[in-house]
Amino acid sequence: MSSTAVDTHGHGHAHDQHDAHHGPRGIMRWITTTNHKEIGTLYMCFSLVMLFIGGGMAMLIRLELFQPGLQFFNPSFFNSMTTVHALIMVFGMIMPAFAGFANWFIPLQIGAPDMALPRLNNWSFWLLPFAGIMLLMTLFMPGGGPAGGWTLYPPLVLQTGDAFPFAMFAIHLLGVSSILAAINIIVTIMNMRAPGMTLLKMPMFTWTWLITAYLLLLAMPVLAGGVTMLITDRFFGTSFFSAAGGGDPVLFQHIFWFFGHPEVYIIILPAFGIVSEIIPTFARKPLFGYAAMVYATASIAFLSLVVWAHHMFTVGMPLGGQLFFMLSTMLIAIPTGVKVFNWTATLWKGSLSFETPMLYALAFLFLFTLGGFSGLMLAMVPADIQYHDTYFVVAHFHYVLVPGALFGVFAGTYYWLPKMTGHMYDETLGKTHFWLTTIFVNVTFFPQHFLGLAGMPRRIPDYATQFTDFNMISSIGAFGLGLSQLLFVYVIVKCARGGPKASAQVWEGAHGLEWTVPSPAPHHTFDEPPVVK
Amino acid sequence: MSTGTPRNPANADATRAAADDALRAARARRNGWVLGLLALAFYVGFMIYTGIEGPR
Repeated sequence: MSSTAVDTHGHGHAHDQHDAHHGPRGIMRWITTTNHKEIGTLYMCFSLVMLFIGGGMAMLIRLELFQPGLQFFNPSFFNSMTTVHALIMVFGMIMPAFAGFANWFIPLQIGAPDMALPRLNNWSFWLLPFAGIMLLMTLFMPGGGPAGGWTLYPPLVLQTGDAFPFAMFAIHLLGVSSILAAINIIVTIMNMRAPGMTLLKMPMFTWTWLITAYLLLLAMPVLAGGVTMLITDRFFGTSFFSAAGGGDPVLFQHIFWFFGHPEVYIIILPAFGIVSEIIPTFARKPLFGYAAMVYATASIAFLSLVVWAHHMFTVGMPLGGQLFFMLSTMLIAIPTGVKVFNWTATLWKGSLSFETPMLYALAFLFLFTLGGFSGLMLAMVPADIQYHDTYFVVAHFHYVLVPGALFGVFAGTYYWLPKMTGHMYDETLGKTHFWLTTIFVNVTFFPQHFLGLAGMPRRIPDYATQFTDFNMISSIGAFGLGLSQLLFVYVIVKCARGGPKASAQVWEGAHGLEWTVPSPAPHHTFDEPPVVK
Repeated sequence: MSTGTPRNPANADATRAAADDALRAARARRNGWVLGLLALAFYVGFMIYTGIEGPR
C-alpha cells in the first residue's frame, strides 16, 4: 500500500475495541453471527474441509491413473470425480477461502467496524454448506453425479441422471452466495472507509478484492443464466442448446466461458493482493509502483472479460475471431508482467527475511509465472489446436490454481494467523509444510506438461502404455501433496491452541491498520474510526 | 419551539455522529439493492437476449 500514517487519537484503542461477545452461545453463536471475524473464520473452516474433500477426489483420480488400464473405478465414476473435484475446489475451496480473508481483513484494513451488510454476510456464508452438501449428494444418486466436466457442456451434461437438477441448483446457490458476498464487499469498501482512507491509500488486498467483487457481479449472473437455460432445456422443452430443436450447443460454451475466464481472475486476483501485502512486509520496503499495481489489476480484470473464446479455438470460428481472442489473451501478459516486475522490484535491495508467508509468496512468483507462460503457449491458435484437451492444459491450469491461488491461501494463512489467533505458529513446521508442498506440487504437475505434449488426452480413466512412467510420477507426487496438507491442519490447530504470544504488529515490516489492533483482533474493532493521514 | 438538538455540546457531537451513521447505513443499503438489482438484470436480461438473438 502507499505509505499511510495512522492517528489512533493518542489513546490507543482501549475504548473503541472490546472483546465482549453478547448473544447466543454454542452452535447458535455461529449460526446467527453477524460479526465479520466470525463469519470469516466460518468461511475458512468450510474451505479447509472442502480442500480435503476435493483433494481426496484428486487422489482417487491419481490412484486410477497410477497405471494404464481400469484399476478401481468405472469410467463414469471417474468422470464424476473430475467434475465434482473441480466444482468443489473452485466454488467450495478457493473462493470461500478468499472470501474468509476478505471478511476478516477488509474491515480491519479500511478501519471499518464490520462489513456494511452483516446479516447479508451471514446469509451468503450459510448458503455454502447446503450447496456443498447438495453437490456431494449427487455422487450417491441413481445414474451417478454430473460427469460432463466442470464446464457443464451440453449435450453431455444433459445426460446426467437424477443428479442433474440437484447439481444445477447447487451451482445456483454457490453463485448466489458469491454474488451476495461481492455486493457486501463493494458496499463496505465504498461506504465504510475510515476518514482519510482514499481509494489510492487502500491496501492492495482490499483493492484486488474490490475489483474481484465487480468481476463476480458481472460474470456470475451469466453462469446462472446458462445453468437456468440448461434446466429449461432438460425439463421445460426449450432448445437453447439443442441442435435438434434449432438451438446450438456451442452457444453454451460461449456463455460458460464468458463466466469461466473472468472466474480464473476472480480466483487469482485476491492471491495477487495477498502477495502484494507479504512481499513489502518481508522486504521491509514499500510496494514498488503501488498505483501501477492498482491499474494493472484493473486492466487484467477488464481484459478477462474479452478473451473467453480462447477456450474454444477448436469449435471453429472466423479468422477475425481467432485473431481477436488470441491477441487480446496475449495482451493480458502486459499488466501481469507489470505486476511481476513490481514484485521483483520490491524485493530489489530489500532487507529480506524468509518466514513461511514469504516463502509461499516467492514460490507463487516463480510458479505462477510458469503457469502464465504455458498460458501464453495455449493462447496461440495453431499451437492450441494441438494442445487442446490434452494433459498440457491440465498442467497449465493446475500451475495457475495450485501454486497460484492455493499458495496465495497458504501465504495469507501463515501471514495473518497470528493476528487471528494471537499466537505465533510453529515456524519450523510451517517451513516444512512449504517445502513438502512445493516439491510435491512440481512432482505432480510438471510431468503432466510432457504427457500433454506427447498427446495424452484429459478426462480419461485409461491411457496408452507409453504414458505410464510420467503418470506414475505424477500420482506419487499427488499422494505426497495430499498427505503434506495434514501438516497444514496440525500447524493451524497447534497455533490456535497456544504458542508464543503475537504482538499487535506481528511482523517487523508490517504496515497498515490491521496491525494497529491487538493480536488476536478483538471481537469488535474500530467502533471509533481511526484517522488516516 | 424545541428543535430536538441537545444543548450539551458532547451530546450534540454524539447526535451528529449517530445521524452520520444512520445516513451511511441507509446509503450502504441503497447501494446493496442497486448492485443486487444489477446482478438480477444481468441474469434475466442475458436469458432474454439469448432467447431473442440466439440461434433458431
